[in-house]
Amino acid sequence: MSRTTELSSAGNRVNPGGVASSERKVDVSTSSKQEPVWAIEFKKICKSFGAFRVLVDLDLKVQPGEKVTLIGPSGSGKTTVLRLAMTLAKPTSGDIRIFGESILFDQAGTLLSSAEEARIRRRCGMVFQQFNLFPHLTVLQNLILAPTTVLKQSKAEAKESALRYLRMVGLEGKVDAYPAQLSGGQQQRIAIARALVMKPEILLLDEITSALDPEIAGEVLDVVRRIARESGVSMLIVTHEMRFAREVSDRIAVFDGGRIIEQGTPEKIFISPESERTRSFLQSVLNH
Amino acid sequence: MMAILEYWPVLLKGLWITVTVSLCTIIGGAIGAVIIGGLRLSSSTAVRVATMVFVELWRSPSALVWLFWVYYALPMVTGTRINPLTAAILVLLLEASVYGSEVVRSGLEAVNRGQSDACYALGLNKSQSFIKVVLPQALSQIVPGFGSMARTMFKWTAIVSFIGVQDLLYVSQFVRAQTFETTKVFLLLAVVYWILCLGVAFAFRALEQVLPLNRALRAAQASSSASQLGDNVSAIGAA
Repeated sequence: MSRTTELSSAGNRVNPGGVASSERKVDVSTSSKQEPVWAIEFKKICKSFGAFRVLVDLDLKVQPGEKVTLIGPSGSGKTTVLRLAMTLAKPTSGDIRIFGESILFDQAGTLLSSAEEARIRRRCGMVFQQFNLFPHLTVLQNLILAPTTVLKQSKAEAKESALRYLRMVGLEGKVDAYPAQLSGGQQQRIAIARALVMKPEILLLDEITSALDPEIAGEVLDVVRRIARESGVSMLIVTHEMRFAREVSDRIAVFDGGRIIEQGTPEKIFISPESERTRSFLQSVLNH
Repeated sequence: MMAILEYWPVLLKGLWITVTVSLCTIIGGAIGAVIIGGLRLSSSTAVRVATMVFVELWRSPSALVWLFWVYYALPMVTGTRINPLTAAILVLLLEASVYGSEVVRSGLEAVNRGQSDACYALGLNKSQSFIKVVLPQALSQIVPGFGSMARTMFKWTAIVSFIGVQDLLYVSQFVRAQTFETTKVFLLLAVVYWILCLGVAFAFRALEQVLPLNRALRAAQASSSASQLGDNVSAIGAA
């Protein structure tokens, strides 16, 4: 437990000052019983919408500090994995653990209270495909809303932290702008900063460049590359940007039909994939 | 006309009652509409169904029927007499709340679902999301619709004279009976209602201007126009 706390309070959070772990992989933490404590662990997850099975017996584990990218054809269940991790959706069966704590059940096996669920969920941050910035608030107000409301930080403290993260994403000059005054790429960088001010230990990135043209997407990916390089935060990334996935990931999981059909290092997946389905998917994406 | 003006203290008192009933109806109705509209989107099925039944029950009979019911019939059931002004405000306030709740519901539903998801992902609870994110954006949809309804509600206040509340219509009838100046009295009445209705419309227009989302969109429009102007000036300079 002490090992987990140590990681949570230091290495696993994003430090906008740039002083953080440069290790690409972090050893799996261990509990007092020497069992591995994963940053996030999906155990036999099934998710159905009516008769449609989106995820089938999904098992996925992410080490603290590890960057895992989920790739696969549209509708294969990648985004659902992120939404389940954020408890924006509930699985039909199975369990999800964040640093060893279930986000669904307590130790007696009964459903968690919403307060308890929120406490565990607070260790995750999420960036969405459509940015989802609050259009009626300025950039600074977007960044300080959650720290002042949820973390009960003072306005001055939240502002100072917000400015640090704005500098990190290169948009410190846009504090008073409204989202509608920014380009898509700028909005997405603000959305990343907004997620980071809550100091998450796990960052969930859901197709963050899908709504952007390739030129603008580059500036967003540069920011993520930097966070991945400079921080020990765990990342679960859904993307169709194969070059980015290859550069930033420690591990890639290939999804098809709600299952992981193959996973491994970027080199293994991109150079010598085992599955024929992975090969055909990569061919179709890379030739596109 | 001079004969009518001799009754100005009475007319002024009637005007005051009309304005009071209107303000109570519009302000109270706005608060009630947000509460009922919010409950109509509750995650609890029981709350949603109960609110829907209440809304449908209330808005089916005319407001005048409810007014007669509250003022004449209810005291017979409860044994407690109710003051006509209180009965009038209560009925009109509920009428505004119920009709306004539909405006609020559609406004809340128009806010992108992604906004609630973002609040949730940032750790805000439901009431924090509603108060700080969803409602401020929904107001841009709600206020114009509610403004139009407020004008209608203002005109509906005239029904309070049916239970003896001495509003503008009631005292005008009294002045007409005293002076026999039917045309002039009703012309004056129409002009006063027209001015007050216009006042309500202007108040809501002013309110629309200060809504947070409208302010943000205006700022974006202004900066886009400024950059367009800058581009044009540069193009002219280059030419």
